[in-house]
Amino acid sequence: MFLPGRAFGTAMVLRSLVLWAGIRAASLGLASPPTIGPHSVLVLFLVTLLAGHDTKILGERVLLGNLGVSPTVMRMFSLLPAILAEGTLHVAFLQLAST
Amino acid sequence: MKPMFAAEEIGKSFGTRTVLRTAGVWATPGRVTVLLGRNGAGKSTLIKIAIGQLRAEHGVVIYKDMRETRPRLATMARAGLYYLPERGVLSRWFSVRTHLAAVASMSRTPATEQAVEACRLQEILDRPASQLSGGERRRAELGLVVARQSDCLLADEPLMDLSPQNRVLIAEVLRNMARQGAAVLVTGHEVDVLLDLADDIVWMTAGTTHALGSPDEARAHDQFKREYLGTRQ
Repeated sequence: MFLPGRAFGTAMVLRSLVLWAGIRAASLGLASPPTIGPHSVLVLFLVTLLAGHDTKILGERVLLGNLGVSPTVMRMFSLLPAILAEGTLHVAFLQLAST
Repeated sequence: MKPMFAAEEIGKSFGTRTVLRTAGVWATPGRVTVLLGRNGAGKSTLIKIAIGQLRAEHGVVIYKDMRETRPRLATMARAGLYYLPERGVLSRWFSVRTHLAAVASMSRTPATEQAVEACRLQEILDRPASQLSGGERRRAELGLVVARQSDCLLADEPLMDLSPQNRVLIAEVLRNMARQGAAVLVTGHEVDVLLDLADDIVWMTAGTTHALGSPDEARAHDQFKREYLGTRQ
């Protein structure tokens, strides 16, 4: 499996986190408290969709393809940071709720 | 010599409009193949199908020992192919140096210094792609191909919108790649430069492709002269 390298990989992770934060902030009124459920799946879907779109618009998809990075790996780099962020938010909320 | 890369019998329609009927194109080691055709003839569509950006209705793509009806750029890139699209490949956020480092990491024998020299990148190495002019971007993009030491390049309109000086420089780089054994396929409309650069001419018209042979043979081809070059008998 070919990975995008440190610079491009970091950029993809940061982009995913920014998109996740934006989507979460925009949907605060729609689904609070932030528990894991259908809403989380929708957030993760949107992050992956927008990150993929962003990569395509910026022309990075071809660049990464030329670096041997497959579309699946690109999607993983968008999805995994968002899953981690979503999980962290959920745990933080549970801890807050229990105190 | 046997082509290293070939797209054969490719067919593609967009809705009711058939763009490609039975089109094919190839790239042979040590040679520059130039694909010519009018705007909208389907040159870019054929290249995009060849690297898996678009799906063909029929046809096959062959690269080295791979034979795919649904090719993938990443898989072919790992084996040495490089695709240079019309719109470019640089990420606006990163410097030319970062791009060069990324592609060099893929090659066993990276040629970063050679790329910097051949494409005159010294002065723009630390500038992000967003701050480069069109010509500088193109030179940097071609520098990536040289640094990668790709053995097969598919370049879609690499000379478009460039100054004469940059056109000559890029044509020289492409010619040198072929001299070193790479298979180079180029599309474009800059007939004067491309006919000088080419070893083989392929003409795309009416959804199919015709191998016209050498540039001299192409210049002597009546239909090509009349319908593409626009010259009179």
